[in-house]
Amino acid sequence: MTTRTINVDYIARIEGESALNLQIKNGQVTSAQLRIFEAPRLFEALLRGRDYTEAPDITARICGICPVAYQMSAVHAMESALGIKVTGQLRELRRLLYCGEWIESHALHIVMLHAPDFLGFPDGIQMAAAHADMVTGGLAIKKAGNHLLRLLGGREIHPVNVKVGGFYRLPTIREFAPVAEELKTARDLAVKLLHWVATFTFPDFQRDYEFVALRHDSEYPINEGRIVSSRGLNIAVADFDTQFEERHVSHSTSLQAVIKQRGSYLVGPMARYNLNFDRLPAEIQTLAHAAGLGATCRNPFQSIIIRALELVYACDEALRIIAAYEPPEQAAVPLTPHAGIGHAATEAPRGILYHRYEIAADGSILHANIVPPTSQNQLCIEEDLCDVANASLALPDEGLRDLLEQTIRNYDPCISCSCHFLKLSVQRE
Amino acid sequence: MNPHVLVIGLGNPDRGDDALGREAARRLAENPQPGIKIIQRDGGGLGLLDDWNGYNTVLLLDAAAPCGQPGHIHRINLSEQKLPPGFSSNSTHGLGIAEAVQMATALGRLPPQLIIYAVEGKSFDFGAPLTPKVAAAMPELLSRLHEELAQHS
Repeated sequence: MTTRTINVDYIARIEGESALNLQIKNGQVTSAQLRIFEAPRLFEALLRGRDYTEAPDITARICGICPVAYQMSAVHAMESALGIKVTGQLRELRRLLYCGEWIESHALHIVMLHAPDFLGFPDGIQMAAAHADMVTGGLAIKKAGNHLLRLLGGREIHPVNVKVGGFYRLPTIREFAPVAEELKTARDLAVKLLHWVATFTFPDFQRDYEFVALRHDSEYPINEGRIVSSRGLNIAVADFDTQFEERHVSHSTSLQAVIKQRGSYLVGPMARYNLNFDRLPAEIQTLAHAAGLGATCRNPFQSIIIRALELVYACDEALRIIAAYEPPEQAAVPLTPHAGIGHAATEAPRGILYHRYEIAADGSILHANIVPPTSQNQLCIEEDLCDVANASLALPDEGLRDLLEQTIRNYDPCISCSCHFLKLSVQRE
Repeated sequence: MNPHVLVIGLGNPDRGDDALGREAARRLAENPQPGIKIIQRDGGGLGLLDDWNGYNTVLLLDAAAPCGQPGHIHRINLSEQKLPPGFSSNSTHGLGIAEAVQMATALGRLPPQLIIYAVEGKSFDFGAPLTPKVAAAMPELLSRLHEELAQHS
């Protein structure tokens, strides 16, 4: 019997701490474990007893890259518990803030974390000398997203201007002018980035995923919608627990979510795109086709193209909202707490982020449940690793290790969020 | 006249000795001088490339990890010497001074003169004040910064 072991002790260019352990016996992968050793975060427990108004600011601290996602899922869930719906310009401003987060998160992942895999560089900094124009462009796009966060959220990381019911302070029309100019430039740069990533060489790999994303009546999903899947799931967000469950696995401090009775599923840009292609404006669809994408994409390595496409879309959407902005009369809908249970899911850059809260009559939080995108993708990543490794066993260990790390980075995983995630270890027997 | 010297105080004001760079910048800003701009930032990272764009001389003030001499002032002139190891960020999504310098070098966006003043810290506890030896180093730091700025203005 021949044994081959490949270990990556610490996976680079992802957020958080994790490792990969791959075991190969007699030319077959017998196990692929994404070992997440980031410390448990215990956020759900520390929310108990806090006031419902504190959830957006506390949960934002789960992540420095996607704090807006946490704030948005939190405020929507609390508003659902209180039976109110934020509409009109306040709703539009929330979508605008979320566009800012998609822009900064996607730009960072494409240029600094993922593109180096396709071009054979160990990191974005070493890629920068050879591709200075694209790196400079990517950083300029990220900066435009950061400025949106600063304007609407008060600061770029962990914004402080979001509250249940709306915002603390509303932006003025005049304040948007410089950001709009920056977004127009970012949009042009994003199109160049899209054309650039479309020229990369992609491993010939596909899997029959169950894609899960939000779906809205008319919009490409960001802040709301029903939860739908490529295998016919179509439920209200409040029914999340009836269809999905989180499991503990011994090699990970992150829970792994599955669809009950079915197993793994994929959330994130590829799922959003496949389930909502018809919700993209015609111009974005044309750009997708020009970049080599059909209406459906099952190659996770091509997720970088979809991220670049979403980058263009988010710039367009932000500019649309800014152009139509009229300051509403009040910055937030006034709220009176009462006992209730609320659910919400929004589309974080990495996929759906589900929050559920139970609050008491005085507004204190009795119970909180948070299911981040990386927990949901974890099993899917392990299955990808098995299949990618089986198809590439002829590679020497170093080449296999690189390919497997790239497979993980296809998901832009956020380990800190999931810990509630990489070293790569491959064992060949 | 447009400022051509930029002073950047780096750090987290609520993390003990990490506040030192910002505190030094704040004290320098009490006596504004023509040609010199003083700003404060939370940390290193790629935002620095935008901050120092167009400046001839940039002074970075930051606290350094403890290495036996709390309050000891290290001056690193990047046009004369390389950044010593230990300036790298441990975070994957947040980049430190070293990564900002490497990226700026790759993109040709390093200021002609980049001088780092790093003062060894002792404690970086949440909400803590500067530790005594680090606080005691402040007058010497300010005096050396005034001398440095006089040479460049």
